[in-house]
Amino acid sequence: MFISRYLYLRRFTNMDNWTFGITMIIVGMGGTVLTLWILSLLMSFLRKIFPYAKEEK
Amino acid sequence: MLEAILNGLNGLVAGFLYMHWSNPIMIVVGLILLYLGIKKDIEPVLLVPIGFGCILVNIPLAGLMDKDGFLRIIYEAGILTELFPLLIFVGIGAMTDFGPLLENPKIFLLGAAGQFGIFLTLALALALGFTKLQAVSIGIIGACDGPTAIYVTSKYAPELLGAVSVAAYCYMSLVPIIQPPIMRALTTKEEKVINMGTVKKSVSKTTKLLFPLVVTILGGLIAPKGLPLLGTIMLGNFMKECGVVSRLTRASENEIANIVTLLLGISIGATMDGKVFLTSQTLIILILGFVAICLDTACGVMFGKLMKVLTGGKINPLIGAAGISAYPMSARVVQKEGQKYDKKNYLLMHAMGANTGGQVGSVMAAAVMLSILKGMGVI
Repeated sequence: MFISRYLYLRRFTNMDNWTFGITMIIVGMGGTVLTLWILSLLMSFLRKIFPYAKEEK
Repeated sequence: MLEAILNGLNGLVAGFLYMHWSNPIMIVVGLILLYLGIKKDIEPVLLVPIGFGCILVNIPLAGLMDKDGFLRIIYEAGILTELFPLLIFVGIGAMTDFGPLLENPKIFLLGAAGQFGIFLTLALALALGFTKLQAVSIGIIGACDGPTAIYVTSKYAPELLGAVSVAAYCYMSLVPIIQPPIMRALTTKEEKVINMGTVKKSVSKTTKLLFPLVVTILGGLIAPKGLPLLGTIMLGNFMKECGVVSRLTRASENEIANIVTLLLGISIGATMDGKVFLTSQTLIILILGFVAICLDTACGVMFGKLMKVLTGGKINPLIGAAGISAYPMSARVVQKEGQKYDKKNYLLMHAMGANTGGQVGSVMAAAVMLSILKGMGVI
């Protein structure tokens, strides 16, 4: 199992710059947008569960 | 007797004799950094120690960066261990109010778009022949976030630390000059005058308190390699919002941040030894850093335009430019730019929301990037 994981990762380690760059653009940009989108949904949800009360002023 | 005198005199001029051609140039660079910090007020708390460190390390035979040199000790204790940028992050978290962002969580997405320059510049650096990890460190200049850039570079391409840090801090402070022409070029007059109304200030204390916890847990699970960055900034913010550890909050944003900034600055300056710094590579890094910030701004504004369409014209695309981590400079630039076209248009608080979104976004982008690298077995 460890050997197959090692060989699997080795394929990526030796990947060419073109593949690496495109992967980083797609997964990096996509991952950042997706994560922040999920966070924005969660924060909207939290705002609904814990609404602002006037006395907090 | 005469020989002894000559040897003694030789000791006094050895510093001059051993000077490499690059050392005087770097001393001038150090003086320019000091000038920019003192006279032009460009990030003085960092540029002054960086400039001074740069001068110190370019004086030959002093051995400040040798094995037992005091700068080497500081460098190894705080930069190689990544401790300094993380401690700075606790202070940043304690200083930041995420309220404007929580008023309108959709704006979070602008903080993501403002990081696209990181990935595009990374690809550009790869195309120019940098190694994968060097390209990652150059791309991170686009985070517009000094501590993040230092954290990533010191870990994966320490040989570029001086150039990347100087680029990150200089361009961050040049945001008021870099951003406006791009914002003007990419938006129409109708878009510039969109009034987003006033921010209501209606976020409960519980939501503000839960925000750093949610970001830490969720962000950490998605991108565990970036948890040190996320965790420290959110720890600072949690301490500020919980309100029961005001001594710790004050210490984080004052004493700790100040001491660490001094040590961080001087040890970054110490990496600017002329023999390794004065290369064509440094010049390319400075150019790529500039490109990264231009791309961030352009992508932010374009994403703002997309959000304007999706929300039926409720979002002013100018605030997209504030989706970077240069806080609060970028938000002020948006406010100033918006008021050029409509004096009664107050975009500041909306832009502050995008700007704090950019702070979380830059850290998240770095975290995502590190986790992808780990997933691919590159680190």
